[in-house]
Amino acid sequence: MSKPKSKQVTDFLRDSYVAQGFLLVAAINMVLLLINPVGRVDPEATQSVRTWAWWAGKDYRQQKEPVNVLLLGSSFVMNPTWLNEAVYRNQDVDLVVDHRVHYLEDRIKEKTGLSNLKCFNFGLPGAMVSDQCMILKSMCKGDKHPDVAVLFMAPRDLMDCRFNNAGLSKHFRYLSKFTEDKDIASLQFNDLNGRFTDIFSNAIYFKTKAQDIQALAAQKVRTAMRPLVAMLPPSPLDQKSEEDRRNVFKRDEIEQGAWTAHPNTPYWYVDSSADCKHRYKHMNDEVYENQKKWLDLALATCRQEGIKPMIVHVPSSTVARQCMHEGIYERHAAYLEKVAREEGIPYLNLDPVWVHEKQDFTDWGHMSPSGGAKMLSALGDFIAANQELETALADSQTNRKVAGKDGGTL
Amino acid sequence: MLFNSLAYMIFLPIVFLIYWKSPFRLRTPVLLLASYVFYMWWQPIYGLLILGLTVFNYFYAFAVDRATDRKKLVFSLGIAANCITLGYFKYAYFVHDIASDASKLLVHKEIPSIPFDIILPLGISFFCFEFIHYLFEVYRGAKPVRSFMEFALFPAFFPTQIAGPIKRFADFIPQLHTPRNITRQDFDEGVELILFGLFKKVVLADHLAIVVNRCYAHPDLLTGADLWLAAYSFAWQVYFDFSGYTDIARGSAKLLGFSVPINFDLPFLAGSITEIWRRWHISLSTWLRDYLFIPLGGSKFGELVTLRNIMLTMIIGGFWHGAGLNYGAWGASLGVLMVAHRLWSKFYARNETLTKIIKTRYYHVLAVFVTWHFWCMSAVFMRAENPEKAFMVIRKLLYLDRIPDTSFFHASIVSTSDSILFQFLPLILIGMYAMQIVVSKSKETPGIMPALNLRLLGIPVFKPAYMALLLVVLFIWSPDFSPQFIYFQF
Repeated sequence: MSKPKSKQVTDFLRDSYVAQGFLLVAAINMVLLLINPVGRVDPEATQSVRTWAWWAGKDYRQQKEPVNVLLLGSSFVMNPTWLNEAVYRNQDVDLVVDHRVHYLEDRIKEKTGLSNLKCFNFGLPGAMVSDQCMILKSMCKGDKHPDVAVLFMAPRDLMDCRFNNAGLSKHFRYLSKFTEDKDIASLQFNDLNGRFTDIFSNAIYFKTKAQDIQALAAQKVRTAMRPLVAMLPPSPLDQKSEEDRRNVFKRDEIEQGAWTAHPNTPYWYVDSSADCKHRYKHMNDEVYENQKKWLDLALATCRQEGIKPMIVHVPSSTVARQCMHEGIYERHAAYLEKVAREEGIPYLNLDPVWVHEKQDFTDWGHMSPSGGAKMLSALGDFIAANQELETALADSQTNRKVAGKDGGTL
Repeated sequence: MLFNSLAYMIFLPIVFLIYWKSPFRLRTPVLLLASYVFYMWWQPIYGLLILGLTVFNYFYAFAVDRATDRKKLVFSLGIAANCITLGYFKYAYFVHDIASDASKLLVHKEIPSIPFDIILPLGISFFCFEFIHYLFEVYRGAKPVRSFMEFALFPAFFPTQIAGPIKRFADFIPQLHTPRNITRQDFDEGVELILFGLFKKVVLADHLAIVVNRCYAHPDLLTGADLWLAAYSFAWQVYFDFSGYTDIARGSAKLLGFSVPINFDLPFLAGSITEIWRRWHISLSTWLRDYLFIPLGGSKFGELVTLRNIMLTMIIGGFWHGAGLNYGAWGASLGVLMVAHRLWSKFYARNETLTKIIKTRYYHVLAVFVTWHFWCMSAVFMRAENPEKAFMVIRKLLYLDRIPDTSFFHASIVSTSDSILFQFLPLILIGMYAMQIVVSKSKETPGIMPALNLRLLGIPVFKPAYMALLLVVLFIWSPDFSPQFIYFQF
């Protein structure tokens, strides 16, 4: 006669050391979830992986004067803005540590007569609207808020078939350390894998706090080792070579000097339409609907923080339009117009014919320095001509002068 | 599907439940289906290759079995078909490059490039070797497998499909005929092996890889002591990477009630290169012995032929690991060391005093030390991207190429500011060696550590605590993204 089920389970738990080990971890986990001994760790106090978001965030937070115009978007805005900056300044520009956009600053100054303007390129490779929203939520709070936030949006910023869950992007994960906003929780995960990862990570204290525990442990060990290491000569491994920089890039770390634009580098068009086709192979309604909610949240954040938002429809090359699944482009263009109209947000469509494909693009989506110059000129002219945006910038300058922060006196 | 992925952590329990809930007659089809899902997860088209080879070898084995007059020819054609498949996918680019270089040098003409892409299917080296072994055994008199389903599962069995261990059909197929139920012991041992394998991979091998990658990025800046630390690190990295993979494979198989051969037996405690090769990737070394060294004549035809066979076996074994001259050089270096060891063994066997010394414990310790260093040095060929870099590292390891104003023990990588791993490296490496000695001792003398049997309220303490610790360490120190296993590329 076989044993009853409950007896079988009891016997199994009594005899199986694996089951006992799992039960032990479960019990410790419950206690840790309740008492949370690690608590909230200041992301600036511990060492993090130096990703694009880490470098840009560090540069943004270290700006002494507030940023006036903040450019948000993917590499579609990051690259041409940076490449054009090297040509405009006629000097090398290291994108990793230099995010100023002098070209746009000078263009706006020229058209409006404003002085002391600061424009900041916070474009991040692969960033979606959800990442743009997270930048606003995590970096643009209090006295760090910009006057104008320009949300650059190509069709891929709202849907990309290589992207599933907002909460799994590297930029998102880094930026989320700076905010405990409850609004973002429900929008982070779309699919089963994302939701499972979320539940799995949140239910296991050691997983949720893994990075914090690692960082704190490393910090303690480093402090303890400092006197010993100080006695040793400097290591040649600290001199970073090009190969090191390439290696760290493979580990998602970026090093200074790894992305330097030179003023005289010629750019040729490279056909990467296979990548384009992959990204736009279907409508991906699930991600699209989710990213639309992130856009709503980004605009709400702007309203809350007193930031003037504007939307830019990033130019799509002919190749990109040919690669897209039918209806993606039309859906994107119509939606941006609708949002801008309904929310009363300044809207600039940069998709007309003034872009010369081979000269202005380096591939299906990224613009060259000349494309970047055209894009930023059009943006500068638009801001200068838009009363609402121009007033936001002018008021900010007046307020700063009144507060004595810009050479003025009370 | 990768063992160190979330997908596998979901896939395995699902297969486990379906498999044990299925009636006995359906278990083989369930496993076969699961194995093809596992294989086709990344690139579905690859499934056709393994299926095609399976169908071919299944029917061809009957032809080999039935052949009478020209049995050897029929058998050789079957072996050639498997070798050509492996050679096409794995060595076509390599052979083309060599031929092209030779053509440029000799007749000043370039050979046109291969006009299409050849993608190397995962695990091809492993399942081709299993097919070759099968045809060999049928040729030698074993009966071919009657059931196609059972034969198809032999190469496709997902725990061992991508990177072995290389199975023997006579060990595997009978396990399909034995009705069994999962036991508590199998479950515990299986899960323990999986967790420990993951620990070896994501905590030990992946972190050592950071040191190795940094050092091999510019060995020119480093001293001999630095490069010895890098060489030790690489030896441990490969060991933990591959033995971790094998542990996960064996643990997964155990959860399904299967026993697959071990692949490693504390190789770094071996007293000679010949012994290390017997303890390292055991399923490959025994395969090479049975289906290459022995067919070449083994040690039957005099000393010179034996030495030639050793060299050939090791060079081919080197190239099996990768289509590159560095892999050939690695195999050749091991072959030279084995030949040297064989000659030395013959020499001291004739001298009574030397034989006595060699049997002492002190000599054994010295032999382990020397063997370990030779192994680490030969592994430089495997790791360095090209022969120039390999020889530069070896010159520095031998202190033939010194950085001025540095002492013999000057290890500058421990002062790098990048990661605490570098500062602790000497201690970590000593700790790993100590761990091997402890495991070896506890194997030789069970019960040597009474603490392992400590009980609290009648319940053993050590094993559950060890399981819990493994889980916690894995949760905290497993990276979001772990590189794939090194042996996948082989």
